[in-house]
Amino acid sequence: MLFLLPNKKGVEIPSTIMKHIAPAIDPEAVILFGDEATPENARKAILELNPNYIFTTGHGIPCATTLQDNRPFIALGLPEMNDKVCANSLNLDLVKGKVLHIHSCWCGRLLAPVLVQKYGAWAVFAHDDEFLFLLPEDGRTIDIVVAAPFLAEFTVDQVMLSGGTAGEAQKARIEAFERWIKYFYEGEGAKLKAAPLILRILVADKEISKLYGDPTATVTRPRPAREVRLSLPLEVEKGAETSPFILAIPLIFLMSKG
Amino acid sequence: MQSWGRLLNEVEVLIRAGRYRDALNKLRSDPNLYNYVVASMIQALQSYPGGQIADLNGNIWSTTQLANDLRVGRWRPVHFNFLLAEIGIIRRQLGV
Repeated sequence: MLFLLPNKKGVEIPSTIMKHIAPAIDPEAVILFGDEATPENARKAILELNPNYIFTTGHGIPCATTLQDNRPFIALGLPEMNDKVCANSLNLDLVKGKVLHIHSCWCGRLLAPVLVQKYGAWAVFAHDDEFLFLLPEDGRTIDIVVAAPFLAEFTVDQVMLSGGTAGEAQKARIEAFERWIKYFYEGEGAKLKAAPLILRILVADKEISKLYGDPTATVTRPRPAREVRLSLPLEVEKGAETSPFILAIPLIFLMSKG
Repeated sequence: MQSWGRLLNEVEVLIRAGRYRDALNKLRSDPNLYNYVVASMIQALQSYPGGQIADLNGNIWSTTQLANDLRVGRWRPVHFNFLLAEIGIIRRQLGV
């Protein structure tokens, strides 16, 4: 199975977490992380490996999801909606018969249902609004209050890659959100100072996490679910942003040449 | 409490329909409920003082700023994500 994990511009936390748990979810997982997670590499990997399950995270709007450096990966050609990201249709030919987990904001509004109804995706897990989370207090250390929404959300991948159906994965996803809500509402997590806020974020994220397509879709034969543990705290693996100074060097060079 | 339950249901329907202004007007029609909801949201935001909330599009909001905005009645779109969550929490708390 294929995991596309860009690590800049706001998605470094889910990508860092998934990078650590994907090998436990699927020992044969192919992971494109950071600068490897480009639209070109993703397309090449899908054409070569023909995975029947794809996890992708990135920025999202109703008509598209993006990868590293916010470059569009799967897009509906709707320039009237967004003339940059949705200027052209992109990679719609890759989704037929596949199950996708598009962990991006807003894609449930349009992209996910269209991939199912028009382009033959078997099932798509997506969000129909903004997926919210807390940033680490020190900017780099993922702890339980930062990780909780993602650990709930990534239940989808654990169930799908243990041979469950999409419908079972969706049920497990909602139950996982409920368990975390209970943990921060009346369990051990209620003692944490940020509990009231993460509790509300979990409720909001649960509400927007939807399944589109066939609930009987499966991607592998049933097998015992593997134990997936994430050791916390965990350091965010953030990709280096290109410095404006580096971008300015060619300009300075040209100016100095008159 | 039953009247709060009915009103919260109506507010929820309006938020889900994207009718944020109508949802807010509906909520404000019961000042006691409005004050209760806003106080609860501010209290939650203050539980992560100086902290930040983000979404997967790289948008970042300061918890302090979001709380201050609520205090002066300046509602941003992200507040409505929290309002929807708040309705769920209030239902749990009050059993309505």
